[in-house]
Amino acid sequence: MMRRYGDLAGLTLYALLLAIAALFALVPIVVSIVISFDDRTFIGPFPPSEFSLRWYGEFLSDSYYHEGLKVSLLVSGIATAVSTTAGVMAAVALDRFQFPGRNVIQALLVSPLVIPTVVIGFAMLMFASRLGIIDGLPRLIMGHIIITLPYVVRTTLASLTGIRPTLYEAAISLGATPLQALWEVVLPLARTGIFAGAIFAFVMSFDEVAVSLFLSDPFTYTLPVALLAQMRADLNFTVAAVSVIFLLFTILLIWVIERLVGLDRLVGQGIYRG
Amino acid sequence: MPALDLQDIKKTFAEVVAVDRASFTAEAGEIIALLGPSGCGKTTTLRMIAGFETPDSGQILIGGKDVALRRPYERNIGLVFQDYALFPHMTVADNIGFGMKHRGVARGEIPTRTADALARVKLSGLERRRPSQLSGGQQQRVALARALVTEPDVMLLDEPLSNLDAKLRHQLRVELREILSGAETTTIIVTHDQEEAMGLADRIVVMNGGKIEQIGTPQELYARPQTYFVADFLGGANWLPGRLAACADGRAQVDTSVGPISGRATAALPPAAPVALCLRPERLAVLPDRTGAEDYETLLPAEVELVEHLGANLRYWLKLTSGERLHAEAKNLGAPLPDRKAPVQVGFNAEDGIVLALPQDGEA
Repeated sequence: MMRRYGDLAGLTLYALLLAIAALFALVPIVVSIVISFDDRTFIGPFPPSEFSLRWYGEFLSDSYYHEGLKVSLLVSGIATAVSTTAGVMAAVALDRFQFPGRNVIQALLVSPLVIPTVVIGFAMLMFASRLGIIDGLPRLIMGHIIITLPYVVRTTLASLTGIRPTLYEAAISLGATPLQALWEVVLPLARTGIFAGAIFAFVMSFDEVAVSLFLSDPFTYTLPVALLAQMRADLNFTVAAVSVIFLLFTILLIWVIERLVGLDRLVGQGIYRG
Repeated sequence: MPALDLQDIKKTFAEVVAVDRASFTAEAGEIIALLGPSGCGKTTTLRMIAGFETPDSGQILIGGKDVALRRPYERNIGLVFQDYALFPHMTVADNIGFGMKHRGVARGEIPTRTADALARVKLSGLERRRPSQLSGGQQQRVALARALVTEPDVMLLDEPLSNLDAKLRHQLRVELREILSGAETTTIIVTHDQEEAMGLADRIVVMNGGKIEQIGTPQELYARPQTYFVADFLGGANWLPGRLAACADGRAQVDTSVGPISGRATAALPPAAPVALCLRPERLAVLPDRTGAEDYETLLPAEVELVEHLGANLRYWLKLTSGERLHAEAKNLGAPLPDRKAPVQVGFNAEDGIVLALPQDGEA
């Protein structure tokens, strides 16, 4: 009987800790959602007494944010497209061939994950100025390709590893050239991993602040950089409104993934199973 | 001209000789089994015929043309993999159509040929299924249809039945034989299962340690093995080691621990070489008393250790008075089983024994 009470106490404690952890993650989000509808222009007692959509209106009417959003979508879109293409090609090479320096190349491709983004941002800035690139947009795209590439390489490599090598050989034996076998058999089977990598890449790029801070110029800046600058200059709740829009955008993305491939397949086994 | 001709094929992986100067031919429509234990080089040989590996030296002639340096997709080969390797993201019809598409079969012809191929493997109507919706046996037949539909010059089957359970394997072996004979395609089957090889193949190439031990029909290999390895690998065998005493006209006399015994000599035996007499279990007669003893040149006293009831057959585990253990197999004709420790006589003739040289250390 004592054991049972002990188990119950343990379970209760466990449930409590889980609930606290969940609250810890959720409360700030809920607060910012509520604040985004706050009618006041100063930070007052919570919860607010008057609600309005003024911060959303502010966001929608301010061309400064528009420009940021436009640049963000452009940079993230192009960076995702380039890093997905390059990352898939790199992953195929790493998966299919054994060559000297293979491990070094794999480590290099994934290394941006562990290098501080501030370092990448600074290095890219120096590198770009050496190359004579002083325009913000190409600089931003270059930097974002570097930071998004590891996600595509990793997820694609993981799903390629799960594809039996006999499938490729079967395609070849049936008269397909290596390129056709890759295109018609291997890549379709790795599509979950490729798709997951592309989505991760887009989200990471869209979210990125540090690298973008270094590589932006006065006329070309991403949305997070715009928000940061605006917050520094004049703290208002537009940031909260934009956070909510960000949140909705993420939820939409997750819904799309769920409809297309199934979320559990994307984050779990799917990466390994193809 | 043989449909497939391997001449002096050699392949080394990181200084390990996988295939050592192997040569054999297959006539058009013939079914050849490459038989041997794992690591004997049979799979490497298959992969060289398919083009996944390039031989270090030697020639691979298909229809008289050397293809040793051609890539797999430049050869007209049909391959059935051990794991079937069906494309999981395609339907059965798309799997079967894949080869035709890439080998330039006219688009309009593909559906009819797909249906024909499915009918040939008795899977009509399953065109729209996915491989994951098929049983193991059905997947195997789809893989077979996919390889056959392009009318390859040579069909290659890698352990075709090893992924199936025992009962299905028997049934599919018969079907496979029918399908392959019906297709009249030259076929190479790689297997480690001697029953599969004997049941499917017109001729068997027995491989061991990268070398070909013997090539022959299943009957030839079983009745006239040339080496210790072949005799031991195919079917059951009892071995009585000894010294070669005399050898002439295909007869050899061996001094064994149970006395001098005569047997057939199927291969040249070096004088005074260590040899062994191979006695097939079904060629040994187990006599409970003296009845019928006059039919046998050699009679050895023994006692019964165990009788295994195998249904159609009985397997006797016997211990000779001199200490050697033998096993014998006889048809189960319903006679009462001998008791344990019962004294019996083991009878056989010179025709029943095969004298072969014992392998030297490092061989076999």
